[in-house]
Amino acid sequence: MPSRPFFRKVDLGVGLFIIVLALVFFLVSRQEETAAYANVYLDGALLQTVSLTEDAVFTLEDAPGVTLQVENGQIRFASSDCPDQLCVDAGYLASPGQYAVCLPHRLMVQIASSAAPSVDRITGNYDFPERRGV
Amino acid sequence: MKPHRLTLTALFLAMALVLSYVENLLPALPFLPPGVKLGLSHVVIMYCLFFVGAPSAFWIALLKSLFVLLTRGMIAALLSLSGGMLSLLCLFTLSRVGGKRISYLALSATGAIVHNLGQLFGVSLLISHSFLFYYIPVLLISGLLTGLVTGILLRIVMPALAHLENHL
Repeated sequence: MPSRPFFRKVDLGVGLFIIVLALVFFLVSRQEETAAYANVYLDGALLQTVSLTEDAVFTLEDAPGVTLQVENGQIRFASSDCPDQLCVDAGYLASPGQYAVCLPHRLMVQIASSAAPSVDRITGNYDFPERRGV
Repeated sequence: MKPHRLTLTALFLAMALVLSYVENLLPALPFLPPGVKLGLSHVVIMYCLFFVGAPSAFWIALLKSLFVLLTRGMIAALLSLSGGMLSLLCLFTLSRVGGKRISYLALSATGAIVHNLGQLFGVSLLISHSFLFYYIPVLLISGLLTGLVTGILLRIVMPALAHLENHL
């Protein structure tokens, strides 16, 4: 009944090639992930761009009371002389689009994203808001 | 289509629908990444392509997507269609060009991988974002594994389906 072989030795090579291909894609995407940076905004205008690849602690010329810290590809407000400390409490920022704001200093730090904000998940019957006229 | 072939196609379509429905009822295994399924109906569609005829296989894949549209909605149907059609097109080409030299296991695994990539293409029509790129390794490996399983299943059920076909 079977008109072709079920398994051939050459299949092992093909399988191995696919595994290697997956590994290459995995490594390439990893590399892209670490090449991230954060934008620091003052009064809504871009003040400076911070690379997240090297650990660093620094203050900003325009806001001497604020210390920013980069560690393990993440960034945070390490300290601030503002009264509410909301920016410090925001903790480390790691994923694209994530941000922390210090209103008293009119500062915002946001992880840069190369494209539109990511979608967590799309389920079967997604109800489009624009279709409902909302 | 001749009545005999039409009947066979209808029978195998019913099998594919039931298999995909039953598979959906099973709880998702926690260690599997989201969206990864065994694709049991792949077994039936492959059998149709190899032994009943290419038109039957294409009809089954198309009508199965219609069934998904009715039961699981637009997006699931789009993914079923893009994955199913691309996979079938690839299998059809390979089985014709490669003749009898390409093994069932290789065809099954290739079909499953292309199915996953076709679905990724379908998703990329809906949302354009570079994070889709990160899912390629997951899809390659899961396609390889599920393709091996469905290939083995095809080999196991092949005599039974042939028996059924001959006694219809």
